[in-house]
Amino acid sequence: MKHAQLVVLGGGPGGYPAAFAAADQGMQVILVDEGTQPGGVCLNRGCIPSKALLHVAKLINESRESSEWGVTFQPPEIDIDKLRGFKDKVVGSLCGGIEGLCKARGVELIKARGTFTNSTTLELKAANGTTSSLTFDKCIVAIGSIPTMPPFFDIGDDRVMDSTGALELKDVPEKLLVVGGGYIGLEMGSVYAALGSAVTVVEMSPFLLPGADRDLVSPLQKRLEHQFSAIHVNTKVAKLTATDAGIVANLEGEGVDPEMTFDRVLISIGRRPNSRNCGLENTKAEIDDKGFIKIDRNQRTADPHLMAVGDIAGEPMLAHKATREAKIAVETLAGEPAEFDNIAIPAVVFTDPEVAWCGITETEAKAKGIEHSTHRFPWAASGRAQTLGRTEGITKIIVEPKHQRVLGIGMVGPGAGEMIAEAVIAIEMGATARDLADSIHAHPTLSETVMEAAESAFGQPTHFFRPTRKK
Amino acid sequence: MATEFKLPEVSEGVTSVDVAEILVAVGDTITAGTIVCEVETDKAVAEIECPLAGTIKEIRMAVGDSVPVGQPILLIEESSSAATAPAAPAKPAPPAAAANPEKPAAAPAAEAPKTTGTPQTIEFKLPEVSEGVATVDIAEILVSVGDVIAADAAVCEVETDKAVAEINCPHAGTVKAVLVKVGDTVAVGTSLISIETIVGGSTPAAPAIASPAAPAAKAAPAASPSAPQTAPLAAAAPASTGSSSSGRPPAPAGPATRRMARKLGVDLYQVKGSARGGRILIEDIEAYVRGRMAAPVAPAGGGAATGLPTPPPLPDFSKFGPIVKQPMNKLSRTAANNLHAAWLTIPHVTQHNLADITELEAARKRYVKDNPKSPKITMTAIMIKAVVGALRAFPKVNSSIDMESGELILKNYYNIGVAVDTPNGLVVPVIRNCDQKNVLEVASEMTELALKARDRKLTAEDMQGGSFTITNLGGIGGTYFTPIVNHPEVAILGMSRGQETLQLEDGQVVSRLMLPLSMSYDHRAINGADAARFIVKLSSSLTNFFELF
Repeated sequence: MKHAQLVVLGGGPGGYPAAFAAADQGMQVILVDEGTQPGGVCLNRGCIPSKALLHVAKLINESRESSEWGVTFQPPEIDIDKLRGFKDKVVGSLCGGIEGLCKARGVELIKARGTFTNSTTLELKAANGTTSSLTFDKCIVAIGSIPTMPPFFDIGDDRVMDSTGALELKDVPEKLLVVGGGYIGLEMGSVYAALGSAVTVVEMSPFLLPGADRDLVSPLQKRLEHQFSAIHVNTKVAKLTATDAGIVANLEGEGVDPEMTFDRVLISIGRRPNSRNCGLENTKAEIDDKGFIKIDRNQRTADPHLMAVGDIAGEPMLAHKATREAKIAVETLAGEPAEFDNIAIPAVVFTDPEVAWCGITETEAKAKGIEHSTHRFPWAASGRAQTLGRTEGITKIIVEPKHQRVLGIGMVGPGAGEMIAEAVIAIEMGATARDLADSIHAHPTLSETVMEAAESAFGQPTHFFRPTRKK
Repeated sequence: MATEFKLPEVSEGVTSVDVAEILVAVGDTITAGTIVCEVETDKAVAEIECPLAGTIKEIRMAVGDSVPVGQPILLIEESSSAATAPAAPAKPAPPAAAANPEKPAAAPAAEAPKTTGTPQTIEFKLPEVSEGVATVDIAEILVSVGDVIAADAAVCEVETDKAVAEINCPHAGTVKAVLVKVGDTVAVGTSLISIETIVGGSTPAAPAIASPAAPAAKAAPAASPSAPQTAPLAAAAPASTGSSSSGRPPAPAGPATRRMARKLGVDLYQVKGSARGGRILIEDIEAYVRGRMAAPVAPAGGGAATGLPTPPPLPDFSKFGPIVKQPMNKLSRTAANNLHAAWLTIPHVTQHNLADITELEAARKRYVKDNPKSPKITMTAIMIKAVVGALRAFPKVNSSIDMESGELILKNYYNIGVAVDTPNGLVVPVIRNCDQKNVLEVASEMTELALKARDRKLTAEDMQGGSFTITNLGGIGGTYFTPIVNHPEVAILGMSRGQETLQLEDGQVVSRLMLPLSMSYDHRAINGADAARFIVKLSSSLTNFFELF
């Protein structure tokens, strides 16, 4: 029987960084992953392939919009197989990179599905059906999440897809229904709209991107309203029926056609942790009512042999949170003073414009009664945004009133996902608005909007004037 | 007559603007010149003044709308020509700032928000419990989720170093979540419960339509209270160092600084930051630790870094047999720290004596028997009066010593603390101004305080300001003991059990009831001769007890 000091179960952005960090600490590590190539959802069917496609979507849109600046292109010819090939090549190269890094670090990679038989043993089942046992001193559980697909929508027709199906890019449907106005729905909707699909988004709640501040969603929504054929909020999909003509959707909502037919339907209503059918009940790990493994601030579970990181260990289900948790788990095992004490976990929606925020949102500050003030800087006042022809963006900063310590930063606009990094550092470092405002930001860049928003927290920014309110 | 108010020209060349904020609501009465909204152009925010006076019937814009100049934005029922007067009293206009940015006030027809009010979720935070108290232990939680509570209802009981206090919540409403649990040590400002209150319609927050949750913005995943310590590969990481999970806002320090604080076991909230806005730097932690190392004695409640040799670490007792770990409550921890500090700083001497209380005890019993309705006179109550008499004669025993200034602080008041053993630990309620009270009053007050002590209802004030302490173990037994002085007092009197003893009196063997007394004192403040004189005087006053009255 095989034994390892540390087994990492799951090779996604929680699992493989944990395996690497542990190997770097000198531990004997086996990484168990059930996929044909490691990388988890993020690399294989999530972040990476969707971003490859979104990059292409943006290119297509810009080639259309450039006619306003006097540069007109012919409508693009889309070779869907070649496009899929590009996406698969990106994924393949990154996943291959992980296998290479495993080798370089002496991490043994076992491609098999692992099921706990007790707190120190996994039963491994390889793709060819062979089984074996693996025992360990400690295991970091990083088994991730899958798209939620209620049985109700699961009508056994592959025209009804989850995000994995949508990323396979089998064809460009003429009419696509996206169920769920969260980030996955909007990102995939954007890809298909750029490729030529007529996209209809249906969201049950009153807003797109619940969780983001409304003022940041608004510019995105305006743009999407042009790109999509319809966005229906407060609308429910009552029923999906497969017919030869397409998938018939019965919709319930004000002013919505009650019955519409689509060529494909994307269900993107959320994700749920993979805590079922993996033998966790044979361990002492505790699962909460949402299916997440309960952890403490050091990623320890209720079972002294098991740690958990990533989507399986709780919200937010984001790759970068998983990676940070992986480091904490390994440092904890190594006896170092680690702890998940992060204040800001950035959230990025890779639509065009991108929406990104971190720290506290304005909505949250209000709901919790946290003393704060909010300062917005419109990108219309940014030289760089003007040169890009994209002035709809906003950068806003939420500060604590006494010292103007930065509590949260949110932004919408092209490139917001890259710019949020500065905000994360500012919040984690306990920066004040003046720290940001007094730091020189390169001109002309969009990052100046962070500086100018910060200036608004205690004075007037250079390129915008807001009269102090008369009482 | 209703008039449309159209967006006026904002500035030259600007043809349309974005509505940034709406400052009025339907039903508001406005005077000419009221600022009704703020709009954003490419370059600036501008306030739009409405020259009309009257009542707002409709709002034809929403926050975020792009509105061209000349488009109607408000419908106003103009008040009659002379109308700058305020509106009818029946419908008070909410303040202009009430405009709700979360809720585009576009739907004009069926709006009646002002009378209904908005449910709002408030987190009720631990208020200051008593001066200088930074953290408390949650002793009991008196509400549960779903309870509807009135304003000022008690929501929990907390233990401070000295007392149990009820925490009252000023908000009325429905308890949505209880954010602490019994046994938690929480800081002032920590959220205790979240409560949904109903507030007036003018409140800006609009949780009713707020999104269900802000997933990505939460700083930490739900930590499991049941998660154990992992053993073999790792030592348990030291506990919290000022991050957000405890409910407090994060301490202003970067990740590397926070990590260093964890490594050194430093509570970041205790460290003063030297950078802009109070940000804590690594240097600040170093300075803090240096300060702690140099500090002469652990502050009460502290305990680390005394500069004294520390005892070797405890062995793993479970190797020798079964053990149970019992957490000490705050009261016990504080008592332990204070006793330790007193033991280390005060040079103790204990003087013993036997007091003949034969007649006194007989008289006491007689009185108690004959006056069943009067407060029960106990030997401790009598002793308090006797001690006051002796303190008057020897003022140094009723003092404190200030080593820094080299002064003895003599007290012209006689507040006598009485140690009370309770199931939760040792407490010392204080009976004030005992010189001004007769023995009946003292006895009745003692009974009251002892009851409060047992019910954990003593307040911090009940236990402050003592100038001398009595501890009576007579009810249990024993002969003599050496009590520890209750710093900053300088003496403590221990009473043991009175015993019938054969004594020689005028050559005759007689049986006398003798009470063993043990007075520990601070030898810096009281010399041995004075202590002996004090205890002799005290004893004789118990024998010749008419002195007491």
